[in-house]
Amino acid sequence: MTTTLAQLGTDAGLQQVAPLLFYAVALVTVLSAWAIVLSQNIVRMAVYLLLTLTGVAGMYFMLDAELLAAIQLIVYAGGTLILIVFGVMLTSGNPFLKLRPKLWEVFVAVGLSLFIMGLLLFAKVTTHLPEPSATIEEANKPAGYDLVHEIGRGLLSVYLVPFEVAAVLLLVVMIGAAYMARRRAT
Amino acid sequence: MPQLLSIALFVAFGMVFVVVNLLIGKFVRPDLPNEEKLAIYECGEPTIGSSWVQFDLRFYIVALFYLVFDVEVALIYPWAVVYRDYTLPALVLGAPFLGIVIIGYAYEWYSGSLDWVRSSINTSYKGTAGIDMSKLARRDPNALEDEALGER
Repeated sequence: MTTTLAQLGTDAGLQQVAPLLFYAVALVTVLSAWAIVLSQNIVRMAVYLLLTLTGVAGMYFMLDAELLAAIQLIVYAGGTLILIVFGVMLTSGNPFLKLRPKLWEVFVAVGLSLFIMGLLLFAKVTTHLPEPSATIEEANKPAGYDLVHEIGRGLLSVYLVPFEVAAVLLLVVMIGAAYMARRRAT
Repeated sequence: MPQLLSIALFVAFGMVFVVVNLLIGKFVRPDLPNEEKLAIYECGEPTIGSSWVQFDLRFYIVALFYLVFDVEVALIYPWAVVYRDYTLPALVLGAPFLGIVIIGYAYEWYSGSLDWVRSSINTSYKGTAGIDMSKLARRDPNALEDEALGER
């Protein structure tokens, strides 16, 4: 099975499958994002958010950013979403509470969305993207190229300071969490 | 990309497998509902009230710890991948990272935030020493809180 898949990967056949995969993933992402907005039940919103985040991870996979996709799944789909669900469990006595946004909130949200959409469209129109071709990919990726390996080397050399600062950030989060939990009781 | 194709095939097969089996089950099984069968299953116990109750705050601390170590794993993974090639530098440069996070863990442990039953600092119950928590846990939290406040 794997050999056939690998053969398929080198064939031009994959080039025809790739757009289909993209549309499938994009459809899941956009539809579930739409469902988050339409849903009024916060628990269902969380489940739709899970689908959206997974879809975005799929996009990262398609862009050959495997580590980013894995981090998206581990940290966002696995961690942040759990935290949201825990937050709902801990705060809301009634999770079937309907969320009714005020009128000004709707206006702000629509305005912000349109602004971001305009920004993205502007970026899309003005940015000149190079034509994707096999030659560029091969030039960027010499034999034995491993993205995760490259990132690991970066973390130990050029990005050593951010790497260590991240540990300090995690320390701050842990101590802050313990402090807040203790204050709540007194 | 071949990896992605494998993942897509795996996901698609997983979805189809679940849906097809549920559909087959729907067509094959006899459909004789009664009140007992439609009741919520809770390990054979009769259900009491709604399951949408407010959970104890201690769970949130556990969730936050989970998130912290989750992020740590995400950061440590590329480091672990290159560890074999640069053993000594990776060890020297990775030790402070792990050390700083472990300091946080040790602090939590020391300060009692990880204690589940004994500590009263991070629970919503304002218990004092000498209270039998296991006995009190079965009682109404509000009455318990009033009692604890009354004692002061």
